Amino acid sequence: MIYFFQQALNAAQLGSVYALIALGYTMVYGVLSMINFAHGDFFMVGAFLCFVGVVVLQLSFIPVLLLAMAGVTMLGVATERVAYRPLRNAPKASAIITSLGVGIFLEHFTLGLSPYPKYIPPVLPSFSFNAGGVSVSTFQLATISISFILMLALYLVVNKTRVGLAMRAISADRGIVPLMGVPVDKIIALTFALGSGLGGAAGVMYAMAYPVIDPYIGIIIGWKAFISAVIGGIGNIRGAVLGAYILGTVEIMTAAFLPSTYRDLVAFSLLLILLIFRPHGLLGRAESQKV
Amino acid sequence: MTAPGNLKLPPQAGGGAALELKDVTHHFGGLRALSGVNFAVAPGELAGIIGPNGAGKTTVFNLITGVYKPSIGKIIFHGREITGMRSSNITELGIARTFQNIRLFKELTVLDNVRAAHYARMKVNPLEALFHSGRHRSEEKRVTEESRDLLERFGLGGSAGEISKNLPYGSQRRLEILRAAATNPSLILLDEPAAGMHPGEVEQLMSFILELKKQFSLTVLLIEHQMRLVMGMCSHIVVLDFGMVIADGGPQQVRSDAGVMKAYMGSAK
Repeated sequence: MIYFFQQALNAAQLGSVYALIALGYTMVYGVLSMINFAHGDFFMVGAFLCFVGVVVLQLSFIPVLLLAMAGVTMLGVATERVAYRPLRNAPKASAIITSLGVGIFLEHFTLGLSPYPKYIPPVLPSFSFNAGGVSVSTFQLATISISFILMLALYLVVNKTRVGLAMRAISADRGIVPLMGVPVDKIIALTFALGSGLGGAAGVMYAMAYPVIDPYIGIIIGWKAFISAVIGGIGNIRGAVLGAYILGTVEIMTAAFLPSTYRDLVAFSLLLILLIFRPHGLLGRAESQKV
Repeated sequence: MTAPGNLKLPPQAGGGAALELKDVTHHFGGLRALSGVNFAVAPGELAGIIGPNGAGKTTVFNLITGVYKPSIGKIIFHGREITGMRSSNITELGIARTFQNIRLFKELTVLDNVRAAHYARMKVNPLEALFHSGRHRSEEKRVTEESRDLLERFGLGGSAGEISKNLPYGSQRRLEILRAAATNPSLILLDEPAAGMHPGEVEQLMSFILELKKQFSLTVLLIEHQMRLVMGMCSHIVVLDFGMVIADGGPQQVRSDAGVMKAYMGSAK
């Protein structure tokens, strides 16, 4: 039983990382009906900024987190401005393929700067304490609590502020939003900023748990986060978080109770089966509340 | 309701017309949708555009609100040229509209639909909104109160919390008009407000529009197929046919116009 709780804690940690990334996919989909496949690579850049913060600049944890979030936020906003906005009215496929291109660019730009995998030493004092037999590490505690705070903040922005209202309005009908006097471009840029910032935070969380990073880590983690968003119902914020924790749990529990090589097989089978029965995801409906 | 800074023009500014179209021509590719359209709407007027299907009525609205930029010609709003301006800026100057097929934010609540329309008048920058500053919070509160009050005054107060797509058809129409009014316009463009309504509802809608016009001191330009509504409400009627203005005047004048009869009936009786 203790073993189970230990694994549940691990699942919460992995789920939190997936959730932070999945939110970026789902928010951008919400306002633009577009999948930003470069988002996994934004996350990777966050992990590398964590390296820069810890190793090069020798910063402590909170400044490292802020550096990664700010850096990836700027990256997201710049990408939207340079690569996606000019294609706003082009066929959907153009923007999606562009996002794949941006992703490959980021991977290889990073590879150019860092040809070898990087090791990130612990940024927090690394110790564990015992909670009723379950060992809780400082990293796990930091990951879960900071993710929770960030997700709560996002929830408040989307549901309680006028910027959030504008995002929801764009999600509902982008065409008429300018007629409300809403500056659509600014709101879309802000959506990218928020989603990317969360991705940057996820990079730091990930690097704490798996401290050896290379420029390709964003691919598979990005796919998993994207799947989380789809499981929950893409475009739906609560769905992305729910899907992320489900996927995290399935992966960790598969690895814990079955041969660990089955992990991705089980995870992706789950996705396929779920989509047969709920093609719009768990919380998505044909016309769900988006962003 | 406060005016949003210096952009907003008072209804009487410029002395002349509230809205003026000068030689407006618009092509879609090779198709000429409008050619040399001229008309003016006086401040405080309730004017109507009528004409057969495909005459270019909705195109006129799309040009005025900046959805399209006219190929040739000028659009002047209270003495200020707005040709080719962005929709959100035109909204800020004080022009609002509704759509032929209702376009609400379907998945948002009735209240949120109206709140979204206050955007043009709120003076908080996005960063402040993100960090939820005190000023932002009081702004939000004011907007919510004003929105509730508007819904209350025009009979939708009881549905404020409902998801707007669940409203009955007639209420959706009224909500769309109220949402347009919430941008604090001086000119409101209504695209077939009575479409799909039965005679009793049309009657209600007419008094709804008149009440709104009075309370907000609006200039109204509407597109309508229901002759009863147009002839009963509008003091000034512009008739479009094949993208050209074929008549422009009071209801009596338009009713007796030979060209109009021809456009509608196929021949001059």
